Amino acid sequence: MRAKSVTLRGLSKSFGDVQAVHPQDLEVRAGEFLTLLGPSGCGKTTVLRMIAGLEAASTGTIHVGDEDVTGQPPNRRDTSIMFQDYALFPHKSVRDNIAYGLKMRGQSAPDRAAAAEGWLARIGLSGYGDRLPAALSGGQRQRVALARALILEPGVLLLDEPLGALDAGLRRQLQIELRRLHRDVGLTFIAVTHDQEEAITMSDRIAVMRDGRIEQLGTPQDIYDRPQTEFVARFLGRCSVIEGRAVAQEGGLVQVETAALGPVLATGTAAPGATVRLALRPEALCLDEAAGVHALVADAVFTGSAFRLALTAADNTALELDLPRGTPVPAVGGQVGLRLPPGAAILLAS
Amino acid sequence: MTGPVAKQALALLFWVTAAVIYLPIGVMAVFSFSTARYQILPIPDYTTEWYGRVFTDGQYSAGFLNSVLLAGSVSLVATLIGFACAYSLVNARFPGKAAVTLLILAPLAVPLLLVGIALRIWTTMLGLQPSLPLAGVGQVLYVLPLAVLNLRNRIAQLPKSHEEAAWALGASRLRAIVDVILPACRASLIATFILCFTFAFDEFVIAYFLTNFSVTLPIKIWTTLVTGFDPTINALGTMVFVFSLSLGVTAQWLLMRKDR
Repeated sequence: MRAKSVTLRGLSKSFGDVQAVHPQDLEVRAGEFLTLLGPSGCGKTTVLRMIAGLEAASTGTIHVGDEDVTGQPPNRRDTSIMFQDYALFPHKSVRDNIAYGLKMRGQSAPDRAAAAEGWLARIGLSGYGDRLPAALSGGQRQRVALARALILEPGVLLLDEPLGALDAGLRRQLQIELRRLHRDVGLTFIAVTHDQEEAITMSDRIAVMRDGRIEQLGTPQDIYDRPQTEFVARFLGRCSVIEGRAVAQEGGLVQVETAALGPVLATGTAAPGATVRLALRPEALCLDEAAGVHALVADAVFTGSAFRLALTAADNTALELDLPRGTPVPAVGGQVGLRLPPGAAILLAS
Repeated sequence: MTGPVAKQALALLFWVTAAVIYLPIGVMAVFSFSTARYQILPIPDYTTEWYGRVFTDGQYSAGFLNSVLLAGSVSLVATLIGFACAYSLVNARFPGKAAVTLLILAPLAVPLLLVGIALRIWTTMLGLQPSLPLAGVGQVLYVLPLAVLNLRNRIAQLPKSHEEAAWALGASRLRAIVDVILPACRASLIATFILCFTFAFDEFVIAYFLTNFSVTLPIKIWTTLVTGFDPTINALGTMVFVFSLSLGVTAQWLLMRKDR
């Protein structure tokens, strides 16, 4: 298999006084689709550029497969990168753009043209080879950029905000296409995005980054269901955070006494007596008139798939609750009873 | 400054400035067609005789040829060096970059007369004889800032990602410059060449100090004027003006047009 692993050890980057990336370890498995997710300025693009060789590492090493590429220039690495603006050469035809990497490898013109035609067909752009990039739509350019990067069958494909320049509808469609392409070519993909939905849809694993550090690494489901910090919980999906005091540990669950929701069984571990914070996904809370806990309905917002209730708990904590379709929407200003299934709340690291 | 009065004042200022610059040249152009040997009005009769003289008088055509050759080589060298400087200034990060930039651009600010005298003293100290090639070296210094400024602006506009994409696809640094940067700068390179050419073609002081027996057209014109008036100069001046102006306009047009 062509796919290669990428191993970062103690990798860091500083620009003058600014520490863009703190020393990080990361193991990207051969053939997986890993996404670096985080807000702008979190260092995710810098990590990607260091893997590509476009930015020199301040400390640490980068291995692609077994090879240490830390000091290698980009043209010596078995990596390809696709840029957010696609970086298609504006004065070269679509065919010459796609074949450029092969030209640099010294392949003959007929071979290059044939390979480029093959990729044009594969991305559904047969007959577009003679056009200039300016004559293509945004989605078509994105596919040409992908073909250009993949024609060399690099061990690792790096994608810098691959769908960032496209409008929302197209983006959703291309998330699926990118995923399928990843399965088809069987290469290692490392993408960078600030869009949590994109990361969840496309990736095998997600590394959530914040302030130059990887805050959590795991499968999309892992990270959504078991965020370790409030930052991760809030960045991936919506959540409410409540405070409480740990009372007792029962296996993987902690009994927590909260002012907002009374006694709660949360997923996680904490020493009894410790002050803890809990994350609640909007779909975790249920309405239950028989429950002993009540909250005030502050607002009800239709989100397209459901109604989302904004609630105010007894201690004034703001909560969110997604109402299952078909459930009658309670009146704004009224009281509702709340129930929290055991383990639905997640204990956050303090 | 958008009121009607301000607009009219600006328009007036423009036309006065234009008149001050172009009226004398217009007068020269008119007299270049006069049969009289001196600038007198009314013009007795019209002729193209002086234009014929420009071509039949070997001194003028030799001067013209020298100027074209000199300005051509100077512009070519300045454009190439200018591109290299501009690329480095945009891309490289090194200590003292500001100082280097200042050094390259300094000839714009130093009085040309000083540059000419300094070059003459320096080359004499080195034991070099004044000659056209030597004048060429001096003129490269003179037009280089224009080339660097022009090309630096263009290169700075280019998305860095295009070059990086070429690297990632296996291109060396030089290869990426040839494949990606140069094509994107084509119009700017041509415009820079033409701009340098017009400046070098008209340049007098450096050429005066650094040439000896084979001289450029501006020096030929000047020496002719010093020794006595020849109406051929009217015709020659008009031709040089039209030549330079059309080159300048072409260069501006190329610079304003977007590089593709």
